[in-house]
Amino acid sequence: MINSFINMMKKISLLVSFILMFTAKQTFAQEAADNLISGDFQGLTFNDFVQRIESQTTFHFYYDPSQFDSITVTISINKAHLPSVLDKVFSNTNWRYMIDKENRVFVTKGVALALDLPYGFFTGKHDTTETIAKKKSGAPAYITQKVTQEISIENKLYDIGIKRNYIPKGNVNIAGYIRDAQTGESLAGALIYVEHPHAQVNTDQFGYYSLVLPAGRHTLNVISPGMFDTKRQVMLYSDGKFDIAMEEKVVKLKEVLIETGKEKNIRSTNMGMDKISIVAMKQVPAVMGEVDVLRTILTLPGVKSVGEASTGLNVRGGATDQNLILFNGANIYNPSHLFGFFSAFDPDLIKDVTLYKSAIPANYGGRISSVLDITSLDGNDKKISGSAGVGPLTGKFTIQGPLIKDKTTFVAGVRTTYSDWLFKVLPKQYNKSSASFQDATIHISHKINAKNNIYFNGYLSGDKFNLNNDTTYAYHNRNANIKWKHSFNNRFYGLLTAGIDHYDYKVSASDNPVNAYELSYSIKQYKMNADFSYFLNNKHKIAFGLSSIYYNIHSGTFNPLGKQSLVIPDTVEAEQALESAIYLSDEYSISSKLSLDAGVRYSLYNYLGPKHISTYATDLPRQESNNTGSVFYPSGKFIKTYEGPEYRASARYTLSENTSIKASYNTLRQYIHEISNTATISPTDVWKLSDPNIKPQSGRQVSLGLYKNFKSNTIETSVEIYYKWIENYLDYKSGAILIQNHHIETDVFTTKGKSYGIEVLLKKATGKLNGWASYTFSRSLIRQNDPLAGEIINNGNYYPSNFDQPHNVSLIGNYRITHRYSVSLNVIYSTGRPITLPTGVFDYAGSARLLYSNRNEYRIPDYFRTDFSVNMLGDHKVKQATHNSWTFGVYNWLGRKNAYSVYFISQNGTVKGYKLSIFGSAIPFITYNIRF
Amino acid sequence: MKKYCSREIIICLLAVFFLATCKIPYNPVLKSSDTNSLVVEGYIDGAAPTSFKLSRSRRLSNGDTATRRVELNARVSIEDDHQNIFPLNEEGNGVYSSTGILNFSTASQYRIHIITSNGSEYLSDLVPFKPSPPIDSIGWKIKDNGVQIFLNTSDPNNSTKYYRWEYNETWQFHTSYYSNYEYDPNNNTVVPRTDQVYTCWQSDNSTAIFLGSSAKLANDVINEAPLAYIPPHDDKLSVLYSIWVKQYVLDANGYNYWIAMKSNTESVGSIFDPQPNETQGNIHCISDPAETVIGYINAGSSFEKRVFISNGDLPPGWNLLKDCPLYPNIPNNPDSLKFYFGGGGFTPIGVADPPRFPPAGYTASFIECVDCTFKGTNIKPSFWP
Repeated sequence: MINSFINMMKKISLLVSFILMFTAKQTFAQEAADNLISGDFQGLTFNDFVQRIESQTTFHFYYDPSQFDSITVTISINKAHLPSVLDKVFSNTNWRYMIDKENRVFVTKGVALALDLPYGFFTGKHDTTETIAKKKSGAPAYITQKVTQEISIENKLYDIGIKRNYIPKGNVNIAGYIRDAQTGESLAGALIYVEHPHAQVNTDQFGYYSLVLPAGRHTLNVISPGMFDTKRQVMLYSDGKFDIAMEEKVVKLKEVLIETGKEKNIRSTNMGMDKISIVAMKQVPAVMGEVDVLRTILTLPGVKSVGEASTGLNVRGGATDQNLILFNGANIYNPSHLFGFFSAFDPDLIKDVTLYKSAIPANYGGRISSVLDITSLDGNDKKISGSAGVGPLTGKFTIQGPLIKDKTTFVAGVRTTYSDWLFKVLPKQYNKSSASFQDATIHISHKINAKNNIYFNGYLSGDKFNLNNDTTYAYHNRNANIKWKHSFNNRFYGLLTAGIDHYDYKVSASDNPVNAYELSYSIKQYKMNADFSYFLNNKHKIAFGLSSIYYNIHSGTFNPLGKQSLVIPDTVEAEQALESAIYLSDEYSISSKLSLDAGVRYSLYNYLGPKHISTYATDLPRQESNNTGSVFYPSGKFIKTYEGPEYRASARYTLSENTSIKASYNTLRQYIHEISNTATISPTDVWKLSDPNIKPQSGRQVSLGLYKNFKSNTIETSVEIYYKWIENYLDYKSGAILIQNHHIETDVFTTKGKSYGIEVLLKKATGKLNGWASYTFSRSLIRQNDPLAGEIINNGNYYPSNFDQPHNVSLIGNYRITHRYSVSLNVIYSTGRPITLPTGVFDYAGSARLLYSNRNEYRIPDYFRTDFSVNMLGDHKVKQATHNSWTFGVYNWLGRKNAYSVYFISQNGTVKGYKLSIFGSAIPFITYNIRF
Repeated sequence: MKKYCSREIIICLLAVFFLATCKIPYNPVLKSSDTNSLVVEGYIDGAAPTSFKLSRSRRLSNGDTATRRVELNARVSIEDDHQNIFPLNEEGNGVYSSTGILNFSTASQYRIHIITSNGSEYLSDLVPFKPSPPIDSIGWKIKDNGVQIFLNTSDPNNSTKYYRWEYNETWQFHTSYYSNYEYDPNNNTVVPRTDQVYTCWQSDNSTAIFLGSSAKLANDVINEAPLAYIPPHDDKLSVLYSIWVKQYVLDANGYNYWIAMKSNTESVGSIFDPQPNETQGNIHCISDPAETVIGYINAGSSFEKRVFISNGDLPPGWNLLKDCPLYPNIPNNPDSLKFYFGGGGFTPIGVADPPRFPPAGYTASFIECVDCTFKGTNIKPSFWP
C-alpha cells in the first residue's frame, strides 16, 4: 500500500517536472518512472550488471559479450538515469555507448563512431537546440526520450562558424549566453571550461561568455550552481555564437548520487566569494517565514550582525557602512524593513546574491569591506507567470514574462505589510504603535538587436513606524537605472549605466504643539558607469571602465510642525562631492594550474562647494573651542581632493583535480561614512562625506585559502585566513551629538582597526541532504590613541569593536524526504558581542547611577539558536492552473532567550540589570505561496 | 486544502512575535573593580542656601549591596573670579552647606574648591551665574489613564535656555478602615487608640533626571515638560496630592552632561539607544589630573513652586476598592491576640458584634488596611492646607 503510494508519488512528481519542461499536454508513459535505476552493484560481471538493469528498466543492451568478460562493475546507485550510470561505469575506459529512441543501448569499444551519432540519426531529423525548442509543443515525449535527448544534446556535435571540409588553422572565438532551459533566465557566474587545451571563463552578469580556442573539435564543460552540469561538443570553424541551456536541479525529481564537475570553487580565481541562489535561500528557515536575503547572508562564514533586530552586516570585521549593497546596480543605503527585522528585498524577485568579502573585482569601489550584489530575475521569456504569497506579516505579488516575444521580458513585484492591525489586538501598551513597510521592484530587459540590449531597473522601498510614542519615523529608498549593453563583437562588449539612487528619512513629533518638529535628511546620488569587457584570448580576459558618482546630501533640516510650534528652522549645510574612478583588470590564465586576476582602480574624490568649512588649530584637539574660523567655498569649487590607487589581485594555483590554493590582496577606499552611536543601523543614522576635516576610510586585506572537494566534488570544503587593516574609521566621542550637528568633525574621531580570522566551510550543494556548515574564528579590534583626534579610548589600546564575535558556528541543512516534503534545520552559535558595562555605582539626582569607563570590556551571553521548518509543495495534479506551497516552521524552536543586549538601568532610585531578548521564545510561522 | 491562513492563526502568531521581545532581570558577573571616584553633587544657588553633597562611587553589585560612602572632613568652598571665597560648613553625612543664602552676582563666575581629608585637591571650571526665571505653571493631564504632571516656564529675555528640575511629592491618603483600637504588645491586650491612623501623608523625592531645553526654539519657552507620572488608580491621588518643583538653570555643557547621564543610566537597553559611555564633568582633581571626578556644577538662582491636585479634580473612578477583607471576630483571648496582632499581620479595628464589655472579640484587617503609619506619617506637613 505504502509502496504503491510512493510509486504513485514518483509518477506524479516525474510528471510535474516533465510538465515544467514541456508545457503542452502530454500523455503519461507508464514505463517512465521505471527507467530509474537503483541498486548496490558489487563486483558484478558486466553481463550480470546488464541483466540487472534490463530487469529494472525497459532498456535493452546490444554489445559483444566476449569483449566484456573481464570487466567487473562496482557501483552504488539510487534512482539514477541510465546515461549517468553508464557515464560513471565507463569513466576512464574506452567504452562508448549510445542510447536510441527505442531504449536500445549500444555499447562499443574504443570507437568514437557511436559517440558521434547525433540524436536523430535514426529518424533522419537534424537536431539542434532550435528543434528542441520546437519539441516543447507537439511531439509525444516520454521521460525516457527526454533523457535520451539530453544525452544527445551533450553528444551531438555542433558546428560553429562557416562550415568547411577541413579544419582551418588558428584560433577562433566562440561566445554566447548560458541560460536556464526553463525560464530563459541568464546564468551569471557559470563556469565554462575546456580541458585540452586548458581554457576557462566565467559568465558575466548577463550570463555571457566568450572563449578563444584553436579551431577544431572541443568539449565545452559548463558548471553553474544549482544547475545540472552539462557539456557540448563543438566543431569550431570560425567565430560564432553558441548559447547553452542548462537544466535546473530543483525540477529534477531524482538525482544521481554520483556527480562530477562540481569543482567551480576549485577552478575559479574568485576568493572569498559566496553566491547563493534564491532556491537555496528558500530552504533556510526564516523569521516569520519571510525568506530573507540578508539573514541568509548572515549564515555565511565571516558575516555577522550585532543582533537579531539588525540586518546590518559586519563582513570580516568591517562596519555596517563598509558594504556596498547593490540591487541590480542600484546602491541601497538602508536595506532593512521594520526596525531592521527584515531585509528590504522581495525574495520572489531575487535571482541570486553574491557576496565578495576578500577579492573584490576592480569594477566595484567606494566601500572597503565587501560588495553584496543582489540580482533580480530577468523575467521568464517563455510565458507570463506569477506568484503570490501570504505570510503573517506580508503579502506579496510578482509577475513576470515576455512583453514582446523574444525581445522584451519583465519582472515586477510588490510586497506590503499589514502588520499595522496587529498592534490593535495586542496588549494596551502597544496599541498606539504602528508600523508598515512596502517595497516594489521592476526590471525590464529589452533586446534591440543582436548587438544591443537595454535594461531598466526600478526599486522603491518605504518604511514608517511609530512605537507607542508620538515620534514617527519614515524612510525611503528610491532607485532607478538604465543600462545599455552594446556588443562590438564576440569578444568585446560595453555596458553603459546611468542611475539615480536616493535615500531619505523623516522624523516628526507633534504631541507637544510648541515643540512639534519635522527632521528630514536625504542622500541623492547620480551615477554614470561605463564598463567594458574584452576577451582578448584564452589567457586574458580584460575588464576596464570608468565611473562617476555625484553626491548631494541634505544633511538635515529641522523644521517646525504646525502653527504653534516655536521650533527654529535649522538646516545643516548640504554637501556635494564627485567620486570618480577608472579601472583596469585582467583575468590571466598563466597555465592550466595557475591563474591570476589582477586589477588596479584609481579613485578621485572632489568635495565641492558651496560649503562653509570650519578650520581648527592644527596642534590642538579638534573641538569647538579650538575652531579658528570658517572659510566659504562657492558653488562648484573644489574644496578638497582625495585620490589614490586601489590594488586588487587574486591568484589561484591548482594542486590537483580537486584541490587548489588561492591568495588575494586588496586595497580599497571609501569616501562616505555612516555616523552612528548605536550598535545597529538606525533609520536616523547620518551619512557624511569626507571633507577637509574628515579623511576617507581605507582598507587593506590579505587572504589565503585552501579549497578541496571530496566525493566527486559533491562536498566542497575550504579554509580561508585573512588579515585586514582599516584606517580612518569614524567612532564617536562620549556624549556626541550626531543629528543636526553643524560641526560633526568635533564629535567624532578616526580610529585604526585591524581584524583577522579563519573561516572553515563545508558545503554540500546537491543531493537529498544539502546545506553547509561553517566555523569562523575572527577578531575585530579598533584603537584610538591620538590625543589630537579627541579623547583617548581605553587608554589608547586596541579594544574589541561592537561586532567582535570570535567564535561562530552555523549549520544550515535541508533534507528532502519526498518530492513534496522537505525539512530544514538551522543551528547558529556565536560568541556574544562586546558591550560596555558599568564599572561602578554612584548616587546622583536622587538615584543610584552607573559609572562607565572602558568601552566594550564585557560580552553579552553567547548566542545559540535552532530553527526548523517543513516545506510542503501542493499536490502535483497536472491540469491545475496554479501550484501552491506551504511552509510551517518554528524559529528559535528551543525557545532560548538569546540576549540582544545586557544593560543596567536606574529605576525608582536603584540600579537594575536586565537582559533583553528580541525573539525570546519559540516563534511558529506558516506561509502560503501560490505560483501560476 | 485551505487556500489562505485563517485570521485567527495570524493574530496568535503575531502576538507571540511581539511578546517574544522580552526583558528579564539579569546580573552578569563583573570584574571586581574598586572604584572610588569623588562624586560632587550640588548647585551654587543664589536663591537658597548653597549645598553640596560629597560621596564616593562604589562597586556595582547584585542588589547594590556595596557600602555607600560619603566624604567626610573635607574643606569645601565656593570661589568667584575675583578671589572672593565663600566657605561651606560640614553638616554631616557628606553634606556641606552655606549658612544662609550667599550673595552671588550675575557679573561674576563661580567655581567649587574641595580639599578632601586625604589631601587631594579639586577645582571646578568657572561657571556663569544664571538666575532662573519663575516657573509659569505646573499642570497635569490624563495620559494613558494616569496623570502626567507637566511644567511650563519661559524666559522673556531668551537667555536661560537650559533647565533642570527636581521635585518632591507629598500626598495624603486614607486607610480602608478607621480604627479606634490598638494592640498593646507589652500587656498582650487591645486598648483604645490615642492617635489617629486613618489619615497619613507620604513623601518622595524625584529619582529621575528631568531636563528641558529651548535651544532649538525661537522663544525661550518650555511647554509642558513632563515631570512625575502617576499611574492609574495610584494611592498618591486618592485624596490630595502636592508636588513641589525646584527649577535650576544650566549652561549648555552642563545640560549635555546631564543628558548624557540620563541616557547612560535611564534610557539604555532598547534597540536603537546609544551605547553608554563615560562623560566628563567640569570638576577636576588638580593634584592628580588623571583621577576621575563625577559631577557637573552650575551656578544660578533656583526657583521653587508647589501645586496641589485633589482627587475631586480627577475624572471619576480613580480610586479602586482595596483588597482589604474585614475579619469580623478575632477572639479576645491571649492566644488569639498574640497570634493575630502580636505577629504583626493584623491590626484591630473595632469591637466585634455583638458589642459587650469586655469585648468577646475584635474586628480586624491587615495592618496596611488599618494603620496608615505603616506606610506614611500621621503628622500633617506644615505646608498642607
